[in-house]
Amino acid sequence: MPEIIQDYLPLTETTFYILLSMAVERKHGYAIIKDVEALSKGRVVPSTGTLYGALSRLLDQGLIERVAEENPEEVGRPRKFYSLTQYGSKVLEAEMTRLRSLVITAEQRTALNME
Amino acid sequence: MEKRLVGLYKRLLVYLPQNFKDQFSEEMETVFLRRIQEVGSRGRRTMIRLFLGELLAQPRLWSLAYQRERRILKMNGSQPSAITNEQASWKAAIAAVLPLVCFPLLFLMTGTLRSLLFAAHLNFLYYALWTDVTTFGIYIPFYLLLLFGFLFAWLRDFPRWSYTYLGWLMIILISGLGISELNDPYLKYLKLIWGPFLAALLIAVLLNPTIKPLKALWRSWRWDWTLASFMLFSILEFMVLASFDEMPGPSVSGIFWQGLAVATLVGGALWYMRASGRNRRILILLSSATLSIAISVGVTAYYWHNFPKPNIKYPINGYAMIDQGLIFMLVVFAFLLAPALLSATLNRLFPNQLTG
Repeated sequence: MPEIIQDYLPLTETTFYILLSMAVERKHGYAIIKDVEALSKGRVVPSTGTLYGALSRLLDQGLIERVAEENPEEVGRPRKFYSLTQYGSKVLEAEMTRLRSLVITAEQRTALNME
Repeated sequence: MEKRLVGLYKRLLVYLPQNFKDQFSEEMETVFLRRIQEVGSRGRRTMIRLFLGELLAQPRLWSLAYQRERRILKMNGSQPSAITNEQASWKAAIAAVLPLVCFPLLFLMTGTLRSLLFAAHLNFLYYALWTDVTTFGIYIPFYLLLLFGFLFAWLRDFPRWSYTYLGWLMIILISGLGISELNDPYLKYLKLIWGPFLAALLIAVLLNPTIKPLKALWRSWRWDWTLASFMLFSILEFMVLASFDEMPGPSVSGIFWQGLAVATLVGGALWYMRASGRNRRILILLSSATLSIAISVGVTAYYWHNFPKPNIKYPINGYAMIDQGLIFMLVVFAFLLAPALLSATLNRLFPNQLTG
């Protein structure tokens, strides 16, 4: 597992959206797929296999954690929820900073050309 | 349609490695079911498209999951299941002796059939039924057993039970190369086993694309060299059965002695699997091999010694005379013990290299 946050960057688009979908609240597998689809405006729709491949990797890297539902008997089958760890939040923030800086640089360059 | 696609998807998940399967397969199944239900109203084509998307994602998932499995096993410091001094379960012991039982059954079945037809003066029927093709064809269930055994053994990193399968596969594949001096016409069909074997190997590699099973085989072998001798048990069985082959004409008593010699080996293999500790395992291998060879050499020598027609020569196969039989026994013993002797020598020369 890389020790420096920068070693995780850049994130792939799918990984970025998966982490982003957990940024506000914990989510289960199906909700993550739906959220990724919504966040990317339908451009990224991970298959179940792709999602769980990514989730297993993120779990191993310690960027997310997996928790069982607290009251499984109320909804039947116990579901597993995924949420960002503190470390995962830092990686996501670092990626957002990187993307922001890319956009700022691009905007500055294009603004200069316009002048 | 929905149920069928979910069923197919479940089947895909079976091939994931154990740790990944335990952790995620139930969730994946639930998520896939919900997605299929969601697109169900949009028609069959959308459902099939969704399933195909999953299918295309599988190779990448398998690759990731198996890499992860290797990391987990490495971290846990796990070792191949064949490396154990514990006794095997009855299930594993029975799995180990299956090929040792299956081949002689088919082999003796042909002998019994011959005896019965000859006794009923229906020799012509035997020769009509018994062509090169049927001689090869009757063993098809046995070849399938070996191939399935090999496939499962690869996926399970070659556990102890798989060594009898490997031994028999070795005999057949080498015979199929056609380098043997034996010129039985049906042997030409043995080369056909190479195609299904390579297909089984390809499937095994696709399902578990790593050299870990081969490493496990090598490690197990080095750790417990009785496994190599156990693998050669299949060769011994073949030789014991073949030793009776030169006895001409129908002989029910011959079949009885053949059966007894084989039963001794099968019993030994079962006992070997259930035994704990290497010294006990060596003792079992040696005692059952000695007894089996003694039966085959003793019976065939007695037969030829009392053979009523002096104008027919003894077969030149080393079984006709006790002294030749004893030489044969020594050769087989040396062959069986070669891995053990080699390992002991290596152990003495490089004491820090071997774990066993």
